[in-house]
Amino acid sequence: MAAFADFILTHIIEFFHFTAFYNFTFGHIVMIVFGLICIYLGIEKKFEPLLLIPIGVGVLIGNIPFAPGYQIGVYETGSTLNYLYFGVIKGIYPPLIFLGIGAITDFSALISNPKLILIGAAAQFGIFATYCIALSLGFSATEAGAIGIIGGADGPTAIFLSSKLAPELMGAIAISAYSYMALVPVIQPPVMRMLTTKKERVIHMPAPRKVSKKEKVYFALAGLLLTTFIVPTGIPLLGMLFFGNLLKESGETDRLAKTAGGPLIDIVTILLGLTVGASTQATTFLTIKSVGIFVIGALSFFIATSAGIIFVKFLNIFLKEGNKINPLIGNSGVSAVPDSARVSQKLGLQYDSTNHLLMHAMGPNVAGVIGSATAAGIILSFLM
Amino acid sequence: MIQKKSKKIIFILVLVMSLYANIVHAKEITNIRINEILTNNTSSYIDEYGNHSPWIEIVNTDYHALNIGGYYLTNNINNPKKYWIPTGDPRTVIAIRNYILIYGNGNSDEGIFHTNFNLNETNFLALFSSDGKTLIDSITFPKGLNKNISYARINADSDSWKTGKATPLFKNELNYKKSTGEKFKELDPYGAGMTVIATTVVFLALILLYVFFKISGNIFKKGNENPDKNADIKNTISFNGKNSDKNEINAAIAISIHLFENEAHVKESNILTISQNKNSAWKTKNYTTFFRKK
Repeated sequence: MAAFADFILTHIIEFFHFTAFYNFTFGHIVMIVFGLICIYLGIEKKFEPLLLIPIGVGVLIGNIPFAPGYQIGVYETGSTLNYLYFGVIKGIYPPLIFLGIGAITDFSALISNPKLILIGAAAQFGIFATYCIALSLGFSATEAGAIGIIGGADGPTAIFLSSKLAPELMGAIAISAYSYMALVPVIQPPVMRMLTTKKERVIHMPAPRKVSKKEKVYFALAGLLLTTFIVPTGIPLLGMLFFGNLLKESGETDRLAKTAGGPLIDIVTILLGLTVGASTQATTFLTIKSVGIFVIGALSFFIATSAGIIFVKFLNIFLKEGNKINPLIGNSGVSAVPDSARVSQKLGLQYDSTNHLLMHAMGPNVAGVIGSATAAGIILSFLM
Repeated sequence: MIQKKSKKIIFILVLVMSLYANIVHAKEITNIRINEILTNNTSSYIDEYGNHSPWIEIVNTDYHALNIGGYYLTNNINNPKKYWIPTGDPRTVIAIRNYILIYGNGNSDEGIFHTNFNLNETNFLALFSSDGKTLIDSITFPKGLNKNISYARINADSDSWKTGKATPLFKNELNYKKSTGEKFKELDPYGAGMTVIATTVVFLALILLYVFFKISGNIFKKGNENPDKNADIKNTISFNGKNSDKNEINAAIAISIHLFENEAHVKESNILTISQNKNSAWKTKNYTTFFRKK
């Protein structure tokens, strides 16, 4: 009987050693709380729920302490999560997401008023200013390049670039980029108010003209060729973006466009969010560098938003009355689609209830996607 | 007599074969080498548990795959069988001219690629063959290496070692070539050059798009002035009969919607316009229906 009791006790102790209660550290608790906050923001505050909920759950999964050696963790060779994470570390998921984005994006606003493209270029200044800040804080050039892309406010691009330049920082960069993208409605309005006058905020812009199907097809093809001829390293992202858009606009591949913009992008978003979240294991994530990345990330959003607004004000100097651009759409140059455009619309309506800026803001918003992918291509070609 | 002769032949054959096997084995084990070690890992390769552990890189310089399962790693020459690399796992087979990493973190319960000794305990490392007696390779490395600085052969075939940037699972030659990023940082320590050049390139790419669409937009605008040309798809439906205007219009709408739902129209089309054709033939009311994009 004593032998039996001893046997049972030994196995109970052994079992206890396998549980998370035995293996947890303070870091795990911090990360689990962080994951719960992500889920809360997604469900209760509705901040980018499609991203924050998978990421939040991923953070929980990645930070449940476990006894090693059973192929459970995201970093354990042969584990399910490790296989799924392969798509992140090899930069497979981001181009697939871009394919989907292309298949659901209507570039009409941009095509009808092409000067809005330039706002998307101006906002990319945030990326390079962030690069300088990161360099001055002691990060290596490749790390600084990967951190800088947070300023582009484009999650897939941030993951793509960091997987190539600084894979060890990818978790922190991705979480930082997606967190701030989710917080666009909180971060951008104060900057927009600070940099604009009351008179500027009520500028009415002429209605965008109608854009024919043929013109949209030309846009997809010309966009693909012009941008990738200049920055071939951007082919994975830009190529897929314009390919997806061509599927949509050609009118002949409706089924493919629906799949790319529907089930495919949804599946990849789930896998990307979950595995990026799971990669934030406390042991690798809770470092001084991660804190630095979060601080620099906030700065980069501030700079990118400011650069877009200031550039619109600069453009307005040269534009005739009646053709001027409302600077409240300058924030949309960062590519957080469509949240930053929604912020423009909301703020525009606050100052003039008849001034609908959404369609105008979508122009720089989608130009921001092209701009940040182009910037990622340049950084890759300089630093790889 | 014949039996005696054949015994002799068999004996010679066995001797030759065993000699050959020994030569091949000796050749094989000399082609397995300790190639690089990193004792102070803070940002280099992470193990399966997300930890920055010290690591040992072993290279196969041979032109066929070699298995190190059953070999021993030790940090004490007097205890050559300190860590036994388990057999039976396909991951212990090193491909042609390739590498594997073994984490020297002292946690052998984390898997077969984790030694039971910590690389930082001593400054010595040796690899013994499966008999536990034949020394394949050993290295005494400098103590207190800087963070993420490895001690490695100049190249896998060399006997000279140097410290440099860690290159786990890659050729060591890379140690001595600065990466493009490092060179860029040296030439542009504050990032001003990158900012100016990259912003210019982004602007250039998007200005090109702007110019292209400014020009093409003007051309398309002219083409779009006639609403008929702006229509994506047009259907002409003719009806005969008197006092049937309303019904005919309804029929035209119904047919157009039917065509739209059956993918005869472009999906995005969302404006339905119906106009009476002034040039219709006598007693024929000819309606043109078309969907136009918004």
